[in-house]
Amino acid sequence: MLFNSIDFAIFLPIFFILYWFVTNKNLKYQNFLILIASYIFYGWWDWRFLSLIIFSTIIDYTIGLRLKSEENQTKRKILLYTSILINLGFLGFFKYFNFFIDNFASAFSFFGKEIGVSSLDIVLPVGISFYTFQTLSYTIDVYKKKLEPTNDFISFAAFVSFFPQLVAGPIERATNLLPQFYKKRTFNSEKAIDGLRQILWGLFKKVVIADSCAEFANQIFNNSADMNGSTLVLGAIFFTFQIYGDFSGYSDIAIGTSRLFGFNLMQNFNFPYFSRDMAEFWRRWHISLSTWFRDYLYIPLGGSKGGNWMRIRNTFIIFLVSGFWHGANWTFIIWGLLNALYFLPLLLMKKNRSNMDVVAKGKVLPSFKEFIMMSFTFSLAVLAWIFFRAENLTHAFSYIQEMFSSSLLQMPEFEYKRRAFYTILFLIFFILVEWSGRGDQYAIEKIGLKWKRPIRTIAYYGIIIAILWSSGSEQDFIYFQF
Amino acid sequence: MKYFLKRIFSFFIPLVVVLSVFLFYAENELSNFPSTFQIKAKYFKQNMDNIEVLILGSSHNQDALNPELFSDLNVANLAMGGQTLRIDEALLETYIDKLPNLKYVFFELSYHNLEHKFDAKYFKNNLYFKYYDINLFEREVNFKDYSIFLSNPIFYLRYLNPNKEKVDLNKYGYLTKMTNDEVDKIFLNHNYDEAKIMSDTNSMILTRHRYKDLNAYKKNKKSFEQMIKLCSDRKIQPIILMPPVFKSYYKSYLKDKNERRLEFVSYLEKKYPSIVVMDFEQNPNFKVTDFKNDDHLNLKGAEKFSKIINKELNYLSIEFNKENYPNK
Repeated sequence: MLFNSIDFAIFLPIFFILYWFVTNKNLKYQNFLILIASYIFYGWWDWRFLSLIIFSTIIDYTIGLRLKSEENQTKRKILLYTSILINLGFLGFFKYFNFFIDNFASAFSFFGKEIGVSSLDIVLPVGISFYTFQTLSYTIDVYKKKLEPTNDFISFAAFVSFFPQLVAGPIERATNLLPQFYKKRTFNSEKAIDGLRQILWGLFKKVVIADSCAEFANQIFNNSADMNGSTLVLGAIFFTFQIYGDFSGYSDIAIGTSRLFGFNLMQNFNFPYFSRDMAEFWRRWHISLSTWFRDYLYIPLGGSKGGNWMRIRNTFIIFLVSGFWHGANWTFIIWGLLNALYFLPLLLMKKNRSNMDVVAKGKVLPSFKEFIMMSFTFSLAVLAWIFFRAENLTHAFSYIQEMFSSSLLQMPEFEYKRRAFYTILFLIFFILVEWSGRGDQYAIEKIGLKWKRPIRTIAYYGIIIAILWSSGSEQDFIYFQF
Repeated sequence: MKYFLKRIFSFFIPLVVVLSVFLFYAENELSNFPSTFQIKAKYFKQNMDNIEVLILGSSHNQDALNPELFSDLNVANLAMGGQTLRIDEALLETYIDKLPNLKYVFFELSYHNLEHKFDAKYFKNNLYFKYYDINLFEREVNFKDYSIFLSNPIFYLRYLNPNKEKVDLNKYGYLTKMTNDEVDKIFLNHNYDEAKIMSDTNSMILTRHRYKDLNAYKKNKKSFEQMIKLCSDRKIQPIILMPPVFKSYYKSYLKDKNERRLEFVSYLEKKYPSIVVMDFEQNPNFKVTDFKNDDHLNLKGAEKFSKIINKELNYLSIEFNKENYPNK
């Protein structure tokens, strides 16, 4: 079920009524309701793949309990590796099987030997990368004794499949989310209204910004061979906003929906396009994945303890794995590598933690230096996104080559320029609102709170009408494919 | 909770009321607006028992063939701008057995058709559902699918403008007067000056088909062949039509894309000897003044073309005899 669908608009109020008016007296019933609703939410897309979630849930629940009673370190390790193997095994099969088979065959044919292997027609289960990492966090934390394993199967199953963030995150840590299932949730009007406000902004980002930009990004990327340099630059910028609006919009809706039901999820995006360097960008982009890799990969690999060389090596590993996590294509790996290269000078100069605070805090406008730094960082991100969006490496390189050709100085040429003009106007409005709210959890968290209610209501109506205006068709979220 | 519900209701109720009234008005206006879809479907459904010629395809066939100009045969032109082969297939599958007198089906095989991707989220799918009762959504129907306005609010808002130009359509749903749309006036705006037209190599009309889609090609071939089979099994004459396009268009073809199309035509001709191919794509009888833009005939060109096709059909109908099928 998509957040930007009529189905979800019907599903959410029904769930709200059942949750707060029917099952609110009993925590177990409430958790059971979350579980059933989450399975319906997921099964709406394809019920067959529910079996994968259920299987992962049973495995990790059982291993968690065994880890509790097992003191022998070798046996504990075996249990941990079993969980990792099964979870990553599913992920590997559904997501990476064809990639490895194809590359294996290509490698052999490069050396003049043809091997008769063929790829399989595999459907990638929606959200598998997200819930796999979430359940893994549970087993690893239990193994490390950072978290007490749960005896409550329903709570655990609801934690794994919690519908607001099941298919595209934020990837929650068991240490943060699971305990929230044990505590009685009480309704808080202010939090619920705040949740609705965040849902509204998330829908605006998805439907108005991302989907409008997608139309032009798709048109330009799909026909890049016939486009001039300036059009290609515009295409890359449209995609840059598409992916941000799409993914951070999803996160906002997920966090807002959770707040309606008394849950707090972590912030996943913190205005990344206002970053002054790439290190700051990566502290603000897909925070739940970056911190997951930091805690479960970077630190176990030695983190920064072994000096500069180890820090650089581990940073490259993180970025390459992160690229590969996004998809089984060399384009994602190069995207990861490019980001690691962006990071390298900052690491060498030990400047990767120089911009920790909100940019231009307390000021209306950034300084000239800050503006240049933000523009430079944004340009680097735009360049990297070309690899992320391209069909393959040849496409990406030819796109970049043409982008920097003499045709860069020509006027952009593509279909529906008038619509593109409206989209750019929306983008300018969006950037201004995001800039105003850059110190908050989401852009409109505090904007207008001091306005008179009728004025605020009109502003929200304006956002709703913009969403309805732009909602021609229900577009999938990009991150569903990851 | 009471406070929350009070605020939610006071926020949403006025909005829902206003939007519902607006939606009701919009749906009503759009349903009554004389559109090509509405009139074509009305004519088609009222005359199913008599229809002898069915024309499918995209805007190329839609603009090129005026059913009014076919003298001895009852013709329905269901071709429509943006109509892919998958939609043609759905229309044919749904209606072929409800057309007892059907003798000929025209399939468009212009340069773009085979690599034009079908989109289950295409906003016109709601119109096909409303007027032809076909579900192209590739899922269960939901209530939004019944609404024309909600399928593409931005697009349809302009139809709610009371000053919106009403189009002139004949009873077959064919446009009988040039519209004021910019794409319909491209050649006119160039004063039919060939040099100017030929130098405009980056016009939207030319670039919009400059893509390749092998995946769509594979699927469309399957749909096309399925349609040929449907006709052949019922002894209905399939005719592959390549309507005229201006040289600015055919000179911009991607070589491999065009070759794939021609290869497919040869394959069909070999496999289904009953097929008739009418290739007018580069026909020298069509001059610059017969086109409204690079790949669409204007009213004058369409009149000329419809009469030619009518004549061709008359020749075919002398030969046509279900007992002797195939008749090539």
